[in-house]
Parts: sequence; C-alpha cells; structure tokens
Amino acid sequence: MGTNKEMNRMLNDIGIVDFILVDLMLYLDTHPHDQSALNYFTHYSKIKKKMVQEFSMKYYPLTKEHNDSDKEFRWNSQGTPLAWEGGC
Amino acid sequence: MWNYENRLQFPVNIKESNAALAQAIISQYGGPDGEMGASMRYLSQRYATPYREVAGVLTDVGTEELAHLEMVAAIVYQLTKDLSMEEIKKHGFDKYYIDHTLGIWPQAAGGVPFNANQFQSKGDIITDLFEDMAAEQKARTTYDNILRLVRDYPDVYEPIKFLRAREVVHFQRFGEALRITQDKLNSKNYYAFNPGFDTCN
Repeated sequence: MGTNKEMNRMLNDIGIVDFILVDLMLYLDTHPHDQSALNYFTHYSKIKKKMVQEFSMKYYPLTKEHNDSDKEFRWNSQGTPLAWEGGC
Repeated sequence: MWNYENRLQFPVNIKESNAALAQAIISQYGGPDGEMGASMRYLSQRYATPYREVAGVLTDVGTEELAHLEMVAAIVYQLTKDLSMEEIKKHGFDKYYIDHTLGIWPQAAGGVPFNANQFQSKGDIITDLFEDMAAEQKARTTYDNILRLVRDYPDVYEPIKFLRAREVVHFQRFGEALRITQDKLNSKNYYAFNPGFDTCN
C-alpha cells in the first residue's frame, strides 16, 4: 500500500490520460478517418489500461472487472472510497 | 450499456462548507440548463438519428454529461456535508433541508424540480442538433454565472472552470454533427424531408 499522496497522484494521472481519450473520442466521432488522431487514441488507450490495472492492484478496483480478490468483493466494500467524498 | 469507473472525471476537493454556493450550484444538477437535462436530452435523442456519426456524438457526449452530473453532485455534497443547523438557517437552506436534509435531489436553484420539460427530443435530426447547440450555450452561460459567484473559492472554481470548458467543446462537436447532417441531406433544401421519418423515393 503506497501513501495517500501517491494514490491521489496516480488517480490524477489516470484522469489526465482518460481525459485525452474522452476528448479524442468526441473528435473521432465526427472525424472517424483522421489517422493521426486514431493513432493517438490507440496509444493512450494502451497506457490507460496499464495504469488502471496497476492502480487497481495497488489500491482498489476502478471498474468491476478489476476486482482482484476472490475472498472479498472490493468493488463497493468498506475499504473503497466513494468518488464524491473528496479529500479532508 | 453503461460501465462505471469509480472516480470523478476531474477532482473535487472542497474543504469548507458553503450553503449559499450550494444552493446556486445545484442548478447545474437539476436545473433547466443543468447536466441531468443535458444527459437525458442527448441520450434520448440518439435513437431517432438516421446517421451513425450523430448517434455516436449523442451517446458519447450524453455519457460525459453523466460524469459531469456526478461532479456537480460531489461539489454540492462537499459544500453541505458539514453544515451546522445555524448555517442552514442563516442561508435559507432550511427550505431544501426540510424535504431533503443533506441529500442531493435534482432541482433548480429556485426550487423547480427537474422535469422532462427542460429538454426536447423532437425526432428530427436538424431540430435536435440545434437544440443541443443551444443547450451547450445555456450551460456555458450558467457556468459563467457560477464562476462570478465563486471567484474567491478556488476549490470550487477549478472544477466549475473545467465543466464550462467542456460545454464549449461539446458545442463544437454538435456543430460538426450538424454539418455532417447537412452534407448528407439535399443541400438545396434540407428541410425537404425528415430523414428520421419520411422515406425518400
């Protein structure tokens, strides 16, 4: 388990990469043949996948597929923060 | 269908309660130009669109608006969760508190509950896209109004600034979707038929 600060930094970085994907996705919806945008999208998709996997193993599952324990359903359990709680 | 990622699209970390700000910001949750209306509008309109690109934009923007809805709720929640009874009474928050305590319920700042009259799904792609472009501008203006109120509160200012910037991008995308639609229709008279309803023989 890393520190809270590390966890927040990692979460923040995931947010940045995901935002690239969301914004690119909207662009690609109206420009589906833009090859360089597509390449960007593929590139960052792989990065995000890796980051979410790493984060979920170290801290808590970010999606239901990332529930890594077969002893506890950590998707919505006690140790898992709620997205809207905020810091202290 | 929808998946959920257990995080906010943009961080919200508000350390101080403020009932007055919460009452204003709740309009972006359930108000006439808020995120609930935006997401329901786009997600409802996409079924009757004849063109895939437009359906794609509506689905993806509609989904992002749900993430924004969550952010607005997080802002209101964090602004109200530590309110004392004195603060509740002092800022006129008692009217909301009576019916909802500190729960989040979709309404406009003035108290009008969220309702489907806040959006249209007209089943006509040109009409719907113009509605969507107008909706994004209305949301942008509302965020401009909020930003003026929260200038001295950087914790609140930052996520609101992000949300406002997204509305401007959405406006751009709907404009592109409209252009794509116009290109596909008869350019001499694109009101000649409703591609979602009439068939062209």
